[in-house]
Amino acid sequence: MAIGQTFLGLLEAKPRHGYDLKRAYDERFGADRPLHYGQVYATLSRLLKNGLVEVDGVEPGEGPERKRYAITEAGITDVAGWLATPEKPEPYLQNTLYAKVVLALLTGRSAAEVLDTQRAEHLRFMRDLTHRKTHGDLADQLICDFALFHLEADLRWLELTAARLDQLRAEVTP
Amino acid sequence: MTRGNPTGMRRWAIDFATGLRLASAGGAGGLVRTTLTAVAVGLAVGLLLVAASLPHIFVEREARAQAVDVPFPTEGLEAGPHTVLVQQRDTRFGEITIIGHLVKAEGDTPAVPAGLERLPGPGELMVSPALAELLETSEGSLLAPRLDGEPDGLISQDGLVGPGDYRYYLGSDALDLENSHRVAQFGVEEPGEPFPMMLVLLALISFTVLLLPVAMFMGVAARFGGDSRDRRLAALRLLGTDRAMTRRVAAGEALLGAFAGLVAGTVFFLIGRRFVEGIVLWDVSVFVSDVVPDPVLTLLIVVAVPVITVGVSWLAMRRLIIEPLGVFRQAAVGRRRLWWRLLLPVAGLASLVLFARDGAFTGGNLEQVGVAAGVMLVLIGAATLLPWVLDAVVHRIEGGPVPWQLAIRRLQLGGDAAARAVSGIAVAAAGAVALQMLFFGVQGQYVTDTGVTDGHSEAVLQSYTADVDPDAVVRAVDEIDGAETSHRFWSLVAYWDIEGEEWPTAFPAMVGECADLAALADVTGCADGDAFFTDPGGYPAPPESTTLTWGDPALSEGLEWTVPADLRQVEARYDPINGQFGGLLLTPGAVEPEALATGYAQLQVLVSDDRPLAIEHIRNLVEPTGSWQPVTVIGNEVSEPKFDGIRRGLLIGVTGVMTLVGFSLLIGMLEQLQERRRLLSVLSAFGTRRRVLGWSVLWQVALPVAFGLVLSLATGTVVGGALLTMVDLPFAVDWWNLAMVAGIGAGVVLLVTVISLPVLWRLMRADGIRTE
Amino acid sequence: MTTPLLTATALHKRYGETDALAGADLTVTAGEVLAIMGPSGSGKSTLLHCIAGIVTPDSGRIEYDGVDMTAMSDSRRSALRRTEFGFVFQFGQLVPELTCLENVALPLRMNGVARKAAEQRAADWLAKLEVSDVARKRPGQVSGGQGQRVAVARALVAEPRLLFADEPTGALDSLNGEAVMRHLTSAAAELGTAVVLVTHEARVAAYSHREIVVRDGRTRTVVAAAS
Repeated sequence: MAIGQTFLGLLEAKPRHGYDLKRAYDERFGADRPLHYGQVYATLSRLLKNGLVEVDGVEPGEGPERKRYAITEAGITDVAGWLATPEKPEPYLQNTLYAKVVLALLTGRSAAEVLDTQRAEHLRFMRDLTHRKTHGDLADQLICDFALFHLEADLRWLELTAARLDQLRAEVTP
Repeated sequence: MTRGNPTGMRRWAIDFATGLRLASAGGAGGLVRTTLTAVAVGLAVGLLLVAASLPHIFVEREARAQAVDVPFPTEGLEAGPHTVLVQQRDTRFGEITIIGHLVKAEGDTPAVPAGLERLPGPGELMVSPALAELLETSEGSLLAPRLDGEPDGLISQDGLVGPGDYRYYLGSDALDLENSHRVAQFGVEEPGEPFPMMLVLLALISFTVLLLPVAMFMGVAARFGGDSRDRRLAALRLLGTDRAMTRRVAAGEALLGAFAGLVAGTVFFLIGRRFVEGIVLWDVSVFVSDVVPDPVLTLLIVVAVPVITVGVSWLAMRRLIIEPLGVFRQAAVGRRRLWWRLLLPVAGLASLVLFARDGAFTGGNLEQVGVAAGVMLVLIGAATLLPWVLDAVVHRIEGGPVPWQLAIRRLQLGGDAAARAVSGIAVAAAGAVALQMLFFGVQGQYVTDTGVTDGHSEAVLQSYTADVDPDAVVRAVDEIDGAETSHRFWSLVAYWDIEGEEWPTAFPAMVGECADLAALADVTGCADGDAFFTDPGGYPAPPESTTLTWGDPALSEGLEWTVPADLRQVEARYDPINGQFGGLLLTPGAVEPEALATGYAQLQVLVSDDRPLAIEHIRNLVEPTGSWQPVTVIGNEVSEPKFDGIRRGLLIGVTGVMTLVGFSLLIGMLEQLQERRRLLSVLSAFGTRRRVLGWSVLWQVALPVAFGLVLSLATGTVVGGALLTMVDLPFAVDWWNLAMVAGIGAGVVLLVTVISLPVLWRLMRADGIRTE
Repeated sequence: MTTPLLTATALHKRYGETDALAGADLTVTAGEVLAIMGPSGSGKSTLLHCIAGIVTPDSGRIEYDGVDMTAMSDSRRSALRRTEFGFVFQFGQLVPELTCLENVALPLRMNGVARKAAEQRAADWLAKLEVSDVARKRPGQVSGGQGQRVAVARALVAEPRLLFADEPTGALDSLNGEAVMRHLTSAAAELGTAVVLVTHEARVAAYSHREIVVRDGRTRTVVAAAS
């Protein structure tokens, strides 16, 4: 799960304090595993160092929680690149894919495109497996079929999510 | 009673009601189904009601026929206040026989014929409504001179056998015991003339021919939309009905059709009944008021029809297993067996042969049943043979173009429904062919027997006695436009009293000029004074010098004739009137003029067919004199108009039945097309030409019908042949009518196809392919 | 670069109130297997029907072999379907009264091939698809998988340049579906026949070379980024 790109996506929607970021992340993607503050600030300092975010302003007082972060041009490019690149088809992708879709919605990008890109990648992978299967022996076939069935499940999820994008957009964007 | 689980009668009532509700709630399909069933059942009920009316018709007609009959002369009946002098004065007008009586009261309170309020006085003319109507027509005015003027009143129904009766009573004061006879009352006790035998036979066969296809149609109708009905029943099974309940629900559905059919049948009967007075067969017509169904038979119909309808629908279900999750068809029972299918027609033919040997049919009860059963068995046999023939033929056909192959394969798998529908055609067409052969035979007999074919009819004028002036009549006849006397004879009889024989031998004799005699025999070299003898039967001529006596020997006044030595044996010629004359042919010089007074005059008149009314003028000339018998006419025209009507009626009936069959074929075809809409659009996607599927539909309808027609034409010809033999007529096939029946069948096929095609085209559109 | 066999541009088709197609584009190149994917009701079958010349689009252009199909008469299009195209559907496409062999021979016979010759070639095709044993049986007497293979044989027997398959495995279980797809694609490849495959199943679409997605009547061609 790419916390960095997720933070960038959240910041692209609007500048936030570190505390806000953690809360927004936990709410949407954290589910039952909330982020530690340490994780939040470590990630943010890495993003700062790479020039993907900048400090937008500092509230009076002390401590990192007083800083408000905003995304830089380089940060926006990084998010776009991340969203456009399909994940390598493998099991348990849902968290990442889900984050991508939500962030695409939050940042006003085409979530459908994210999904289509991913399904194209899935299909490409499935095509390879099918090719291997049709030219392989029974063992190959069985192994490939195992992967194919899982990938097919992912694809179904992609299909279903694509069909529910409007609903999701209404929920994630206030 | 257990709560929620009714039993016994209540259970039955609930199931029947469910069926009725399902049938009426079946949507458009259900409505069509019920309507067709109702029409089929209705036709059957209508016919049965007519049949049930026959006893009443017979009884009423018989009663009136007795009432209008004039008794024979009674020996020693003295004149009294009630007695009436009667002279029968029948005549013909064209094809119409008119029964007439001249009457004269001998006392103050004369007997009155049925249908009249009082006996007509001198010059008073009472006529039947049919005759009054005829007199009103322009041709009918030609009849007036014979009846002595305008009608003064009408004979009421009591005095008529049927509405088509032509009958009159004319008061006359010129009657005496010389020219008439005395009666004390009108009407007789003994049974009158029986119904013509041919009519009984025709009625029997007509009902068989009409009822059978209707029964078959009922069977087909009971299966209309059967699939959707079965699905409904399966749905009920899912709700927990058991098999017996399912059958009762199905019975309820069938009952709706049966009851609707009873109503429709009553309506058909009431409508058809009104037209009965317009039907005249062999001079027999029937009053509407006589057409009253027998109550017992009617009750039987009302009870039997629903029972039969339910039975048919159960029979149709016998191979169905209706389970909650669907309908299953039990595997077809092997190959169709031939033997029992052949048994029926063979048994029928045997029965026909038994009762129909050369004119054996006399109308006895056993014979009637035998003939009806025979005809029925043969016709049903045709219907049962058809599926086998269709099956056998279709399974042997291989190859052919694509549409043909599609149709054949379809028939191989599902030819049952088609065969069932077409068996109706088979019966109707076979029956029609048989009946037409009978008519054709009867008609053929008239035509061939007269031998008058060259645009003329021959009128025969025969006087009652020799007390007439033939020369004057000939002159008058020749003045009539279109009439010309061709031959004139005196007809006499000479008797040869042989010693030891109880009865004298009679020799008919015709006296006429050589030219006239030439019409009867080959009298080459004839001169006045010659005498000839003909005998087609091979009897010997009276020996030379034998003495014969003219006239009835009992009345003979010794007018004798000696057989001359130069009596020449000559060949008889066929003459339309006298047939092959056998007897003496004498020139006037060969017989004493006094002898002529013992015979009567016979004039033969050629009447041009272009001037048919000339005959009426001839009748007007001679009949009112009372000295000449009613003029008879022999010619081509005799029978044709009458039979054309019957043929038309038959063709209309056959067309009607075939239309019904066409209907069932059409319904089957449309159901089948709907069922296959997906396949049709797939085939269309493949680029299948409409033409290909159109032809396959045509073949699929045409093949069973063609087999049905071939089979039925053959069966009909056999039955018709049997019927002809039965009434002693020569076997003759009416090809034109066979062609007509086949043509109607082809028409039905075309019609079904043409109506199916738009549906086919519509279903071939891509819509059927859409899965989303 | 291979030349396109069939090109469809800006196809629109309305059924009553609903837009089945609202601007669909597609190109089929000779010999390729193209999958048309999309959710139910997305218009993918309508798209197939349009490019196969079964349904005429309300607007747009379909060029087959350089000729505009939308301008053709019905009989020209029928002839095209008969000679150049083959079809496999989900179910109910075999004539129930004919034997499997006769079903396969049907397209040939409709193109005027004599019965004997047609049935000989049909028998070869049944052998190729490993269903020779059902040749004399009727469609009602064979399994779904066998029936679909017979349908594939029928679609290919006339050696079409383009095969349209609409959910060819929709009514089959996985094993039979796989077998049908394997036979279909390998036989088509052997003939050089292009295949347009409508399916909603990814595993079936995976037999294609390329896929397009139809959503709300519009096509979306997505090229996976090289990774």
